[in-house]
Amino acid sequence: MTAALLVLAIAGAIGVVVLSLRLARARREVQRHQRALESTLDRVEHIERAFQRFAPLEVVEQFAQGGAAHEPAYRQVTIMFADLKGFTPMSEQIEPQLMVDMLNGYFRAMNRALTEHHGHLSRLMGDGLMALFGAFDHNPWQAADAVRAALAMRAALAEYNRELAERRLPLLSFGVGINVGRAVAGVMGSDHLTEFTVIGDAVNLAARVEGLTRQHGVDILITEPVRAALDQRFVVRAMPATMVKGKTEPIVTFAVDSFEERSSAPADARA
Amino acid sequence: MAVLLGELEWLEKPLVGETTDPEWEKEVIASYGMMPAVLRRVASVPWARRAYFDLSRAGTKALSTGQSELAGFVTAQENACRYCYGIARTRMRMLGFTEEMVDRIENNARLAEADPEERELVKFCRNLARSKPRPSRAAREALESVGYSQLQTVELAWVTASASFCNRVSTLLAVPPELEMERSAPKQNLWSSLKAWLPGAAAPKPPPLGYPPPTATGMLGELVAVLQDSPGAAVLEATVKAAFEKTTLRRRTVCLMFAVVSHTLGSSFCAKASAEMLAAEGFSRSDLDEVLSTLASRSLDDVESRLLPWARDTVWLPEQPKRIQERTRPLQSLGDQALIEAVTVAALANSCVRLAMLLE
Repeated sequence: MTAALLVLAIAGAIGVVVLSLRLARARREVQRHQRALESTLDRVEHIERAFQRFAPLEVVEQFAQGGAAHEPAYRQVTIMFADLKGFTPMSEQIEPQLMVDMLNGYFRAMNRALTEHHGHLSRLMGDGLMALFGAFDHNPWQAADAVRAALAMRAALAEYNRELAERRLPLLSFGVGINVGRAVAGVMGSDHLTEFTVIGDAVNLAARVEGLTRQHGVDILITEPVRAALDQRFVVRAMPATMVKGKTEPIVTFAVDSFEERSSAPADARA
Repeated sequence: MAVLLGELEWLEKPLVGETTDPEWEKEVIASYGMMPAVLRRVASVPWARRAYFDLSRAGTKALSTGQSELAGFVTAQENACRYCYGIARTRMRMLGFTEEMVDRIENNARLAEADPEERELVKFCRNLARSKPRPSRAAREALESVGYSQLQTVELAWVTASASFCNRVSTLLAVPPELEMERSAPKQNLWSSLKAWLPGAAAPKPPPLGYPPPTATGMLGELVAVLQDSPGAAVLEATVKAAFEKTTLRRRTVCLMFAVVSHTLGSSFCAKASAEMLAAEGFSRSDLDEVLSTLASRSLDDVESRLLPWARDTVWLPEQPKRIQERTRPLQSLGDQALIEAVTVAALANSCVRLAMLLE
């Protein structure tokens, strides 16, 4: 009887030990899966945050969750094009690495100015860039934001040129064109290359206006709808109406001189 | 898509000093068992400190503690508030949650995908805190479709709005994270669990908030009415009243800040309410239109000219809190009291406009 009890007790103890070992192994397995899951989630979050620079949050999350393609829609957007003047011939005389360094420094400075004024750097095209205001978020002040961003970019470029001068490198100058209007915003491209962007006549006109900066000999040029959205603190000058490709009527543009914080100038003193 | 805790950039020097008020600290400690640093930073402005204290502890009627804590946690993460994130963890531990439970709630915020109810809760709170754009009626219906009652949905919006208020005040004032408190908060272990059964060991029950029943009249009365069945209704009503009546800022300045935040987020209800208040203050509709289209006007005084563009920037907090803290720093020249009031008003306006999604 005692021997049987002893055997039972030993068997029970062995059972408990085996169960404990299995439990411990299962727990380790669960912890391993949990760590793997957490690490994957961390990576997904990092990727989502990186993509947030290229598309609105809801679009990124929709993609991350494997949802249907983002529905394109008309949005009121302010579009800015900026291009370095004379950079292509200049770049032929500079070492490739130096040229890339110069461009990277320039884009960093421009991006800071854009972000500071609620803009999103949407696309880089060689030495040019396209920035959007109001495409990612509802922004009732998008036109004024874009013009203030352009002025901040002008100041940032002057600062960057001082740095280039110290390094005995050629100085940079740019032209900026800004337009506001309705554009189709959405995810576009092929299976191989996709981007969130805006298309439409308003976008094309912004690019044409940037091109006019050379013709008018100014650095920041805005269209009439942009000027109409500004208040009297913005000091602008009317430029001669000019024909541009794709338009049947000449385009009226305004050069932007400055922004004066508490201007007492009457509104009709503009332009 | 919150920034990870370790990556948050936070201004090293807070934007306002501390005020020591023994009576105030006694009251806070009676409720919290500790004195959060933020309540010392806002202590010099009685209505602002009351707003923070009561909004952070108003509680809910229909949500479980786990649901409330999860909603508050998700909101603090979404708003990238380093201060509140740490406090939320510490507070849960002081409430008796074990370290494991706190970790689970934190993980749930990230692993909620596994459960439809939690997934909808996390999605709703994140989207409301973010408000890019504000969630619509469809978002409320999505919550109800997975089993949340109408009151629970209202209270989730309330928890998100009140947590957003606290997140903004702490962030905008750059209140230093309570690292010492986070480290030294009592942890639940076998001894503390056993001790809880000893006579007299039960934690003292925090005193009730002591507000009269809400009347749902006056500024944003309809918003209070939506919360009618929740303990938050009385707190919201008293806080809105105090923001308009007890502040040393001009009443119209407060209205203008509400108007700018409403316009930025596109809230028709709050825009209408603030326009009516401004009209009652004698601020013309044309001046308001000018302010809303340019964030400036010759009819504004110097303080308003500085506060309104900044109020707009408080609507969508940048990914890195340091950016909005640096943007707030120049307002230090207004003085501690005015800065605390401006921050509290901006935070309240943001919360009310988010909450107004229940009416729109």
